Amino acid sequence: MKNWWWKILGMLLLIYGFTAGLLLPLKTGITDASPFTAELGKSLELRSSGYNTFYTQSNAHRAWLKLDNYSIPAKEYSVSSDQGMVLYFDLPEKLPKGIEERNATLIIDNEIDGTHLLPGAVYLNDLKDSISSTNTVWSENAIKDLNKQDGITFPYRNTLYETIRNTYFHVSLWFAMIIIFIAGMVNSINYLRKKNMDYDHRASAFTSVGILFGILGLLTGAVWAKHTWGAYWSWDIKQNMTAISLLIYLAYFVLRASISDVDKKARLASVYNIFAFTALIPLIYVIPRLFSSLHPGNGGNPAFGSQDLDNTMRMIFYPIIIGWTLFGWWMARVRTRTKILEEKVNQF
Amino acid sequence: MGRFKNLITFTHFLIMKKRTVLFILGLVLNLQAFAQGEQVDFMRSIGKIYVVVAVIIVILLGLFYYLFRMDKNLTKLENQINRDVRAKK
Repeated sequence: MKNWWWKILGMLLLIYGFTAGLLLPLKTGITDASPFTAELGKSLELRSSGYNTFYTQSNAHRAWLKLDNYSIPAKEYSVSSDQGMVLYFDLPEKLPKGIEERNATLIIDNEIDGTHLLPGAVYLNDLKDSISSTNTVWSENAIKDLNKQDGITFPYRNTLYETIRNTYFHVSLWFAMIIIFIAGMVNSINYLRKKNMDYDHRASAFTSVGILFGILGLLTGAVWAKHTWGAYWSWDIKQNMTAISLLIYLAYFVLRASISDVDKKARLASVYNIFAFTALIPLIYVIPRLFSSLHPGNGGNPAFGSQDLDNTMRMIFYPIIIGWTLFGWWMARVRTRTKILEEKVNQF
Repeated sequence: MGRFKNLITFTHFLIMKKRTVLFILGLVLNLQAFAQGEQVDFMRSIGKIYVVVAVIIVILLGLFYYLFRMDKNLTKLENQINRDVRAKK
């Protein structure tokens, strides 16, 4: 039991991460609104579809079309289902003064679903025949007393939708991979210092688990990318750089397999492993941030915005990283023990 | 040992029939191909939740593959030890 606690901890953290990561609902959102375009100075009938909303349970709804600080409230609305609502707007004749932006944000608010919105919901065209059928005006800073949704929820993001949960299954794998690679490198350094073969076995086991996590990260990322970015492989800078760094790591095993002398193999492999890790850091943490990338965190931005990873997600994200790390550690330990046993058998 | 025979046969099946396994993997990843006639793309239905399912399946397949490989190494080692013990007798 004494040596088992961390394995059990790892399993419990993974079970917690999978359960909470899959069961907690998303926040409410608006998936789409039609039509996409509207003419200023005319009435607009806007059909919006909500996500995770319960429109029929709420008595009063409020809705706005918003441009910068200016907004117009919905004249009336009719709720057709929990997800469907038709909103009626009288659009003012002109855009607000000094505003160039034409993509209006749709905001819906009620006491059960809280505030949810669709950025760029409607594109506002100029009035064509110069005969306006409305007499509304834009009001400034008029959206007040917004409701908040109850309960523990994950952020709602358009085009991501439920796949935001992949943060726990894709992103966390990369974090775990880095920790496992660090463990491998530390063991390589220890081998060079103490010349004990056990360290070399450990280094190779950790590196192989790290490569497994890396390949799984690439594959899961490809599946995720197919359904959010449109292609399995978009030649995104981060995708390319991680592929390169994994190839560098794969060469570690090519190197090991090509040397038959045991001590020479261990020494060269240890040196190479340190090189591979130092190449990994700029390749996946520095270079992708300098260029534009589809991944969050490019052009010098922090990796996650507040909408990509909020505090609710952190409560699951960090534990599941530790869970994957302990799981990988366990796999590496089993592999090390096999290697050491193999060595002993071969010595007889 | 006998109890694990089936598992080992299964492992061998997976390793020998690489093409079949890859085909099944391809099916899992390309479920949307079957749903093309439908109005909503299968992988994009219900808030794209099946993308999460596919990602988890990929992770599980990877972990299984790694486990099978470790199992194979251990079996080899076991056989070697058994042979050595028999030779000594």
